[in-house]
Amino acid sequence: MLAVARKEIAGYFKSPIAYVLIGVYVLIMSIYFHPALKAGYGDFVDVLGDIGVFLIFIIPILTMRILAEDKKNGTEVLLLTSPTSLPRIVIGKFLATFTVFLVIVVISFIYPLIVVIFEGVITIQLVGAYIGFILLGAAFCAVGVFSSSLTENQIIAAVISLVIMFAMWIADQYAATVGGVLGGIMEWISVLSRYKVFTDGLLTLENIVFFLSFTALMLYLTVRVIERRRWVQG
Amino acid sequence: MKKENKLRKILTSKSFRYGTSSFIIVAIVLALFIVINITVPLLGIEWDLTPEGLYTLSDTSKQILDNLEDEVEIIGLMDPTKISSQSSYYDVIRFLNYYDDYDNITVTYVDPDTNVGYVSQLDPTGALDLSKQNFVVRRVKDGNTRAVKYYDLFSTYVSSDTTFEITDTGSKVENAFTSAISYVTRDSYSKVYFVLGHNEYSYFDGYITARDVMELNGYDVSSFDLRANMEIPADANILLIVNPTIDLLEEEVKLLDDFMNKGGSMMICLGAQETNEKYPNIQKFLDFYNIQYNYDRIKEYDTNSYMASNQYYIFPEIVGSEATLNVYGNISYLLTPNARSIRLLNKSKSFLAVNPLLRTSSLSKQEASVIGYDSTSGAAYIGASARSLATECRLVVLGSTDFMRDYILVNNKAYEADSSKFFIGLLNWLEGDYSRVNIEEKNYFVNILSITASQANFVAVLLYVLPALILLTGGIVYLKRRHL
Repeated sequence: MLAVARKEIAGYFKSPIAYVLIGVYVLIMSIYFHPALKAGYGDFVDVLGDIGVFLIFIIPILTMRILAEDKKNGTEVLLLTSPTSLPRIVIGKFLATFTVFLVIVVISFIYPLIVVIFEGVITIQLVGAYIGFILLGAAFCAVGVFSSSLTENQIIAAVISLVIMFAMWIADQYAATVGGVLGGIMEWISVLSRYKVFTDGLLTLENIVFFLSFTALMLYLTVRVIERRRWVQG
Repeated sequence: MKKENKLRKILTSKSFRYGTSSFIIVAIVLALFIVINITVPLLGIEWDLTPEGLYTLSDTSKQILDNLEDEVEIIGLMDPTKISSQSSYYDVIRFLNYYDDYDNITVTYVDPDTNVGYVSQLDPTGALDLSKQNFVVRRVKDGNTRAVKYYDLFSTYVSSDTTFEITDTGSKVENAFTSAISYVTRDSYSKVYFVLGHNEYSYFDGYITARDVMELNGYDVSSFDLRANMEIPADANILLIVNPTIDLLEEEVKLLDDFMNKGGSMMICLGAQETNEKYPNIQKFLDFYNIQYNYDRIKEYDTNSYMASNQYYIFPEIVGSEATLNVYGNISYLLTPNARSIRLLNKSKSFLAVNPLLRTSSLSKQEASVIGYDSTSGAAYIGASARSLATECRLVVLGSTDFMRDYILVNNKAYEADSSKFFIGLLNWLEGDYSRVNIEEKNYFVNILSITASQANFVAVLLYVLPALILLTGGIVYLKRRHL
């Protein structure tokens, strides 16, 4: 599992893709942090709340090749016949994309550091917001891995994951319009309202379990999709 | 026969068996996912990480709700499923769940759009002036009702530029609902009257915020014209005289004396004025309580005791006494702009307990504002309380009106919470009720940096250099490996 993850991580950093995605995301964070800094405020919690939406555009590009490329190159057969079990391979691939995401998280620590340097306060609310941000990233990475397992075309994989993430993000907006039971269900699957709870300063077991179980579900479905292909192909 | 064989072949095929078992397993996993995510919220495990305690009921609220004997309904005039998570009401609905956890409290929502006529059924006289997205708190046994509206729930700041953008600066949700519950479950109310007839401020002019604060804390607020009616309402518990610009008549003072002799309570606020008006009759009234106003305006020279921009915007020290018992030590900065000093007389009156409330620094100066009076310097009192041991009447005398004036509070939002706390603390003492709800507004935490403009610009450059370096590294990697 770790060998798979290591190989994929090396693949990311031997190509410009990881640098471009990390660079663009850090640029977005700087753009959002700059006005607050200029006004003399150091509230990075709000910044984390605002930039979550951009993961919808970054993570599909990060994950689109993770399984689709193997399928296209025909190397998927090698993976399926390798001594490593399929779930371990999928988790290894997921860990690789998640690690690249975590690099973004680690680089983002520079902003709270600036806050501390200029006598601002790091509140425990920021820790909660980071937990939410990491869980959101994990869930989106899992969606990306799942989407990548569905097709050999990387662009289609990226579009599928973008559509899924976008639908889960905006479900809350339409939930308020739809209302009733359907609205309730839409709000339930909305990652925006759940992520907002973290950045608002409320850490709930409900939302932690939702993101973790959703990530696990996506990875499980990925395994099923690949296994199904194995059986169909005989 | 052929068909049967075909069917059997399909049913016993490896792909069918795999497909079926796979479908069942996926369905089980999905069901497990749903069950887990329905069950876990029932545990209600959560941690409030906000510095303001935005998702925590205060001990005062818990105590009130634990001791609640009456059934209380909180009715939200809205469909909660149609409230977006981005709406301020979303947080209100979330907070109301903490109230709903108590046995005697029921939180329900009724959408007036789909239940036409419900609002008029709830408020037949229209006195509550209800509209969609308001809340109603009602004691079930007698329908004693109180409305909670947006401005009761949030402190707001209106931008002074051309956009007039409204920003929420704090949450009063807990204050609003606990106070309303406390209010509707009371069997009697304290009536506070603003005395008018001498160009005073009132609850509809200059002291609107004060009215809101009083109502949130369970007081009924009204006013009457003493000069015109020459009568004090029989149901008055507390009288407020705020910034009269002309003196009271002797007959009016006589009425106030009578009111006080019957155990009444009164607060008089008279700040520094830019007129030569003197108040001999008010002074005569106060003389009985060993308190006198001075005709001056206080200027602070202690840099810790005034606002940086204005030496007349002072922060007096709160003196510990029975009247400040509830607030002493809980107030950081009480802003009292344009204050005048008062002096305590030494006439021997054993039936009186007189205490100073507020004191300026020893570096302050009292600049005479009326011709014929001298300026003085040194520490001075700008507030005092008096209680008669004989009649139990209570009096608060303040040398500041601006500390609760709308204009000052709007322009110095950071000090509003402390001013309100001080004001309500004195009112509670006047009423003699220390058990009254006094839940602080929760001002949203603002992380202020100690950073100069040039430092901010330098850091901003670094903020953009960092992603540029990362992108540059990506470019180098691409150039190095493009032929591999």
